[in-house]
Amino acid sequence: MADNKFDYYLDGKTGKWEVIIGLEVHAQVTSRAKLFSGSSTKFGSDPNTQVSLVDAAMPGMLPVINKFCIEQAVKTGLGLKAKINTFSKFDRKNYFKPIFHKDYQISHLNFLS
Amino acid sequence: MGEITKLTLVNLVSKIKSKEISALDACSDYVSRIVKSKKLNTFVTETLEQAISSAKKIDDNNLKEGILSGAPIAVKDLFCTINVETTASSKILKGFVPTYESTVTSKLWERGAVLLGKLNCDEFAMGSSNETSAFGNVINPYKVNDENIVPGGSSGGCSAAVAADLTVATVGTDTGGSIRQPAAFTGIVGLKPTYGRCSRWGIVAFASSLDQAGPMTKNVSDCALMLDAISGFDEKDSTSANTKKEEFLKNLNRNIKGLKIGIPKEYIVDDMPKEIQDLWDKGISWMKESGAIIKYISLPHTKYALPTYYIIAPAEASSNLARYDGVRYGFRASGKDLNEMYENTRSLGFGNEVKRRIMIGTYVLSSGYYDAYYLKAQQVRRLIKNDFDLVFKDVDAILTPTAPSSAFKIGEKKDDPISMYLNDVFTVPINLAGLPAISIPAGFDQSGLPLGLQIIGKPFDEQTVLNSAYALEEKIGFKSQVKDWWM
Repeated sequence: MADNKFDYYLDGKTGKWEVIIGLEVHAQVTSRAKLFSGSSTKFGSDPNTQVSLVDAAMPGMLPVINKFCIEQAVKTGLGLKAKINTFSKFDRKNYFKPIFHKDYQISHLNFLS
Repeated sequence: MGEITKLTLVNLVSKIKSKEISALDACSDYVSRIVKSKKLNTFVTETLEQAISSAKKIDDNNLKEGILSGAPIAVKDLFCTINVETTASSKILKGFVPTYESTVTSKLWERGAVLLGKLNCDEFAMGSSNETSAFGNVINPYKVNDENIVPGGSSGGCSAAVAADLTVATVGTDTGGSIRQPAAFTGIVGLKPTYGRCSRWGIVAFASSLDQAGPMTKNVSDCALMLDAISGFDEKDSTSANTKKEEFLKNLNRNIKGLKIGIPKEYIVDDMPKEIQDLWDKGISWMKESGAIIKYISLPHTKYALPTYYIIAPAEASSNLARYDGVRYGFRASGKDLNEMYENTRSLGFGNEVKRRIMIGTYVLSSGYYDAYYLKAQQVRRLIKNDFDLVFKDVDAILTPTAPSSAFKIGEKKDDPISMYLNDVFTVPINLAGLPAISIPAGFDQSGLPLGLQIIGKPFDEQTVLNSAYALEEKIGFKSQVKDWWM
């Protein structure tokens, strides 16, 4: 298709398919502490030396957002000329999985307060 | 023995500070009563030896500065306590010994109180009668004829222990009425503070947007002192409010002249016993005698509060209780692989009421039902909150009964969850709106069981709630009728 202008459609058996490609980019924030706890993020440390009570989902433990990470996110957004939301909230995505101690992920689902 | 345990918290601490009573004597008197009161099943874990040695240390080193100096206090087993088993009255947490202390309880010990032990409650605070505890039901120190009565719930070990003089005061938690309803059922004072007033850090979570710790005490002054001790901003709880430090006991007074008190017509419910309506009417007269102005108000969305609560609370619970999977702490059942271990642990570790709520919660959060149930319930919750915001433009506080009945017999509602849930009809809306509310003992029904009145306040206006309760307390002149029949 080198010479043809790509029109974002492909022919399929049942008709034309529109091609839309989204990118989910994972980039590590250069923070010394984790996003929701004060544990260190130092690379190459011994196993289980950077786990807080929050990370281990001990009863009664509460996550606290790392302010520095929010600042980094806002700066990244400004750098990308993105719109910065002045209101944000978190949602939980619940599922049982050996890598999750809380058995939910802290995520974003919607912005209804 | 006997006289010290009758003292209020304020009096006991003042006598310990003036050295009229030693911390050791105070502690020993409580310890000997606790030892003789096993029948009530109020304690899940006792720390009596540790309490005696802490009390000695207070005397020996003259540590009399704290506002709770030498006060022997047992707490609900929902507060994590360092090196002391914490179970939330559930089999699934059996053997769990925290390496940390909850913010609220650490404030108690910092101010000089001494831990007597951990008090029984409904499993994970889910219940209104203390019958869902994995450690058996608690028995109310009040008795009707020869029948045992529930102490209310979920803070039923707390309410029974205060009423039976087994702790000078205590802290409970209130998600839908769990401090106020048991307080009403046992003739004591119970305050649910504004959401955010007391830190939730280190409290086993039930429904995070509703849970709030608060005092349960012999009288209103003790309640103000306990709130002074346990409230305050905590950076470890993101929902903790950074408000200025108040002095509730110092500012406690009975001057409620000109205060506008709302009476919501929606709180007159079908089948409410006449004696509760009569008590409410008396409460209105006592308020008037104290100089308050009575206004009849409407909170039109009240009837949606219970159904809304029974979507939101189980939804949050199903998520909060997911962590009890047998991997890191507490009870574990074996299984042939990881999934079967999860399933067996949770099937055997949780009781029926907890399982019921996890199933309801998981259902209302599942894709396809989330919008119809959970999201809708969140919207109705806002309407309920708006009702209160609107009436609080016209009134300073609201007066209602605490519960639509007095304490019931053990087993009476155990197999009828709906009838059990209906007992929280007057307390649940307050949690949904995040408001402060107190229950104070206001009289007895025909069979001699205590009844409570509830005063609801504006957000962070606990002082007005306490002052109104203090004025009412004087008019009521409530006297405990607990006889030590179990000893």
